[in-house]
Formats: sequence, structure tokens, C-alpha cells
Amino acid sequence: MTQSNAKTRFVNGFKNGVRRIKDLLNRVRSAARKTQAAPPEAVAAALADYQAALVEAGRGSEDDFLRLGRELEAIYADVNDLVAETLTTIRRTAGNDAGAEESVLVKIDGLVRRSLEDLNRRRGQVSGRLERIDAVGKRLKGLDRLCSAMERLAMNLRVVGFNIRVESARSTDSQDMFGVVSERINRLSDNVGRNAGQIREDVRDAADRQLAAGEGISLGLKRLDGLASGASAAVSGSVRDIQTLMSGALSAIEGAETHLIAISRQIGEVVAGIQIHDSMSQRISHINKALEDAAALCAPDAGGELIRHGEVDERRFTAAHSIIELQIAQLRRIISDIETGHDATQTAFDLIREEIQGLAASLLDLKTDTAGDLSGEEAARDPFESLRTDLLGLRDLMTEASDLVDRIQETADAAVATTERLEGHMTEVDGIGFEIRMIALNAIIKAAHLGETGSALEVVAQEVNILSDETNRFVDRVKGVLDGVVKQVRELDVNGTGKEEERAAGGAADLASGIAEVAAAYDRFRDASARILGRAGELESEIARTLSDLGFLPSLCHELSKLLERMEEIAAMLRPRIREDLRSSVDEVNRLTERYTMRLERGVHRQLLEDAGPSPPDPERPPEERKKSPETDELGDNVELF
Amino acid sequence: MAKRIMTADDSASVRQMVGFTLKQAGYSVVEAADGREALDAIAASPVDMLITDLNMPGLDGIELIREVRKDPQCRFIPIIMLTTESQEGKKKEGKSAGATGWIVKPFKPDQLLAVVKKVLG
Repeated sequence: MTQSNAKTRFVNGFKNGVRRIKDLLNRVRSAARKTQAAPPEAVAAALADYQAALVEAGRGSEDDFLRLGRELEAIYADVNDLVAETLTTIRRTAGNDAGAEESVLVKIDGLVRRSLEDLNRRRGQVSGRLERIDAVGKRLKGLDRLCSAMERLAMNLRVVGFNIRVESARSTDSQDMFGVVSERINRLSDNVGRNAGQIREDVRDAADRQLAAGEGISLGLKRLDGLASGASAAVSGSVRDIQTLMSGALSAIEGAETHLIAISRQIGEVVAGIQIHDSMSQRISHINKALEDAAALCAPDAGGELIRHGEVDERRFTAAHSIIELQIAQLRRIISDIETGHDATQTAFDLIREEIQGLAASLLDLKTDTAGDLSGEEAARDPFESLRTDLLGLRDLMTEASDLVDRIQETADAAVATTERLEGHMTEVDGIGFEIRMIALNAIIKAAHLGETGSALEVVAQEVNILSDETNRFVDRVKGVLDGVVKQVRELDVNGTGKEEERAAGGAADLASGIAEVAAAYDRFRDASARILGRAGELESEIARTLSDLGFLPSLCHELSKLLERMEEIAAMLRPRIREDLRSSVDEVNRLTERYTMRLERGVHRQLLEDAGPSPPDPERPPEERKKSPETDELGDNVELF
Repeated sequence: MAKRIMTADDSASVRQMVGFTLKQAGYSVVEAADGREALDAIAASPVDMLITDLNMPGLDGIELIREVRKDPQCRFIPIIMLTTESQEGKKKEGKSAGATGWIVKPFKPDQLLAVVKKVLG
């Protein structure tokens, strides 16, 4: 026990001894430092000079920030104009511009589809004509057979006429009475035979012409089928080109809108960056007030009489030094924030420039040769050029088809003219029928007058009557066939009237006008694209100028860095006079928190003093503890609606 | 007719950015560099909304709100504090004075516009 107490006493005595030696050494060192330290008045004067320089640095940059704001406003206005012009150009081209007249593309789409329908309808009509011409041909063949029957009838009449002449020769009375009849029958027989021959000749001529017309139409129809197939391909090509343009336009519109959203986001970054001036000004103001406190602590009249070597002074200098160190940290943070803001603003402008390039390039989504220097395969992929080529091809096909239909019409007209001649025979055939009936009646009456002597002639007269009936039947059949042929041929003519030709001419004119509209739209698009690309280039130059104007931010950082060095030098002036062991007991530093208006300032304060002593209370609720409505949450952490 | 919004801030750059943001969205903007100027301008011609800073020379944001709320014409207009201040105590003070909401700077344009749209209805 005694040994243990002795040991404890020895340890304590040793510790006290060490402490005394350390204290002595501290005093010696402190005395040595104080002999090298600047006078406190010099520190206070340096702080006063410094404050003026810091205020000047903060104020000096305001004009630069305001100029940046004006440049941003101008750029955004130009961007909006550019986007509006780009969207208008695309919408006008694609034709989905609200309130605009029917778009060129939609109009062309309808036009090419109608053209194909017209062509197919006309092909159907031509095909119908061919069928009618075939039908006329068949009827004409029937007429040819009737002509043979008529010729046989003429022969029979001649035989009957001969018989009458033979029988009437038996008596003078008979001869007187039937000589004329016989002559009339012979003349009629000649007439019937001549008519039959003439009709046959005309029928064969008409049939040949109809056949030729039919062959011509048939060949034309085959050619028309080829044209229709080509036109169908041209229409499909045109529709595909239109769809490509429409789809390109849609994607270009979506692209332009995406670029605008991205630009707006970057504008937002610059807007936030510009606000650093306000934050910097407030923080510099707080630094200045803190430095005033530090200067007051160093001034000879701060605490009454200055005791240069007492502990009271050491505590005051330590407090002043801590305040300055804290302001060094605050200023360092301001410089860092400006550097970050500069980088963010520079990046934002770079991204805006890229988005503007993308916006202008969105016009190229339409895959048009805006620069006019595409050639070969590249030009072939240009849907505008391709559409124009397809439309030109379609117009040529339609013109060719129209010419072909005209030629078919001419053929049909010629066939009609030939067949009309057959109509003239109907009167003559009618006359023959009437005359033979008159002769038959006359012969029967005369035979009756002759009584018994005329009995043989009566038989022959009855024969004439039978032939008359037969002739009338033939006449009716010939008339019926001729009538049918003429009607059918006239129908051919009716179906090919000028209305169709007008429509065909109208279709070709519409296509020509459509091609002109496409060309005009293309020219407008090219002009607008060139203008937009030019404006985009100007805007890029404007942004490049603004980017070079951002140089004031590094200059500001440089200026503040020099002020930071000066503040560090001032702190160094005080350092020999401070006592590390007193740092935790200075209240002046924690009182600074009352001036803070920003989370940033409190954060810097807390971080610096974390190890030096108790942290100041946090007057802000951590974000996770804030009770916010979901609606307010959407607005962001820095927004609270009451 | 465009809604008329006043921005009161002693920082010209903040007034500029608030004005830029609101004008782009079609609002009419009136600027005041401090609370007194804002109060005089509102008395001369009422506004549909007030966006004010907290710390301003002369009449500060809280005082400005109290004064504005005394005017029967302005009793129900939305008032948003736009400030670097984020202390809960200050927010409570602002709310008691009659503020409708609080935005801590820096703001982003779409954020400010969302708030304006929300409170103006």
C-alpha cells in the first residue's frame, strides 16, 4: 500500500513537472512569436482596406451578370424564332399546319389517286367499246347471211317473173294484163339483187373496218394496260414519297420539339447560374460584416484599453483569427461556386449550341438536299425530287393514255361513219317490201279478172304474194339488224363524247398544276431551310460571343482568389497572437450564424468548426423531415406552398 | 389580358431573370428594387401576384407582405417569397405575414412558372 502511494505520488509529480515544462515552453514560444507578429492596429487597418476591395469586387461584376442576362434573353428569343420558323416550315411542307389550306402533299396524294382511278375508268370504257365493236361485228355477219337470203329472193322473183311472162303469153288479154307485172317483177328482182349486193358490200366493208377498229382498240387496250401498270407504280411511288415526307416531317417536328425542351432546360441552368450574383453579393456582405467584427476585436479601443500581453487579448485575437479563417472558408466556397457556375453555364451554352445544330439538322430529317449539292444515288433518295420525278412520269403516262384513248375514239368514229352508210339501205329495203306487195296484190286482182283463163296466173300471183310476205319478213329482219348495228355503233360514239376528253384534259392539267405546286413547295422549303440554317449559324456565333463574354467569371474568380490570399495574409498576421487552447471558448464565431441567410453559409460554418467545438444549431429542417404535399414535392425541394 | 406580376428584389440580376422567365410565359411584369418602391407601385396600380425577396433595404419582404395585405384589393393575391433564406423560423414569419409560398433561390424557370401557374390558378 505504501509502495503504491509512493508510486502514485511519483507519477503525479512527474506529470506536473512535464506540464510545467510545457507551459514554460508555450510561454517562451508565445513570447518569441509575439516579437515577430504585426501590431493589432495594422491588422485592423488591413481588414478595413480589405473590406473596401471586397465590396468593390462584388459590385464590379453586376454589370457583367446583367449583360449575360440580356444576352441570354436575346439568345432565347432568337431560339424561339428559329424553332417557330422551323416548325412552320416543316408543317407547311408536310401540310399539317393548323388552319392552313389543304397541303400540297395531301392535294398531290388525292390527285395521283384520282389520276389512277380516271385511267382505270377510261381503260374500262375502252374495254367496253371493244366488246360493243365485237357485238357489232357479229350482227354484221348476221346481216351478211340475210343478204344471201335476199339474193335468193331476187332469184325467186326473177323465176316468178319469168313464169308470169310464160303464162301471160297464152292469151292477148293475159299478156296485156301481166306484161307490165312481169316487167315490174323483173325490175324489182334486179333491184333486190342490187340492193342485196350493195348491202353485202357495205356490210363487209363495215365489218372489215369494225374488225380493224377492234384490233386497233385491242392493241391500244394492251398498251393502256401497260400504261396503267406504269401509272400504278408511279402512283405507288408518289404515295410512298409523300408518306416518307410526312413521316420525315413528323419526326422532324418531334425532333424540333425535343430540341426546344432541351434548350429550355439549358436556359434554366444559365438562369440559375446568373443568380449566383445575388448569392455572392449577400455572402460577400456577410463576410464584410464578419470582418468588421474581426477588425473591432483587433482595434485598440475594442475592449477598452489594449493589454498586449494578457489572456484577454489572446482570447480576442484568437476570436478575430477564427472569424477570419471562417470568412476565408466562405470566400473559398464563393470562388468554388462561381467556378462551378462558370463551368455549368459554359456547358449549358455549349449544349444549347449543339441543340441548335440539331434543330437545324431536324430539317434534314426530311432527307432533302437543302444545300443543293446531292447527286446520283443521294439525289434519288430525296423524296421531294423523287415525288417530282414520279409525278412527271405519271403525267407523261396520263398524257399518253389520253392520246391513246383519243386514237381509239377516232377508230370508233371511223367505224361509226361506215356503219351509218348501212342506215341508208333501210329506206330502199322498205321500198322493195312495199313495191312487191303492190305487185302481188295487182297480180291477184288481175288474175281474178281473167277468170278461168287466168287460173294459172292466179297461182303465180299467189306465189308473188308469198314472196312478198317472205320479202317483208326479210326486210323486217334486215331492218332489225341494221337498226341494232346503228344503235350499238351510236352508243360507241355516245360513250366517247367530249366530257371524258375534258376530264382527261382536266386530269393532266391538274397533274401539271400539282407538279408546279410540288416544285414551288420544294423551292419554298429549300429557301426556308437555307434561311433557317443561316439563322442557326448566326445564333451559334451569338452563343460563341456570349461564351467568350463569360470570361468575366474566371476574372472574378481570379480577383476573389487574390482577395482570398490577402485574407490569408491577414490571418497570418494574427496567427502569432492566438492560442489554440482558447479557440473553443470564443462565442463571437457562433454569433455569426445569426447573420446567415443561406444553407450554404451554414454548411461552410459547420464544416469548418466541426472539430473546433460545438456546431451551431441548424435552423433548417432537413428536407426528409419536411412535410410537403405531393403537389409541392413535384415543384422541387426548394419550393414550399403554404 | 396578361396577368400582372410584380417582382420585388434589390438584386437587378434576379429581377432580370424573374422578368425574363415570366415574360416568356406571357405574363406582364412590374419590377421594384425594394419594398417601399413595390408598395408604392402596387398602390398606384394593383397586381395579380407578388414575388418578393426577403432581405431588401428599407422595407423588407415580410414588412412588404404585411403592408400589402392591409390593402383590401390585395388581401387575396398570391404572394411568393423568393429568397436565399431557408430558415424555418423565417418561413413561419413569412407565412404569418400572409405569404402564399416560399421559393429558395436559385430558381429554375420551369419551377417558378409551375408555382405561378399553380397559385394563379
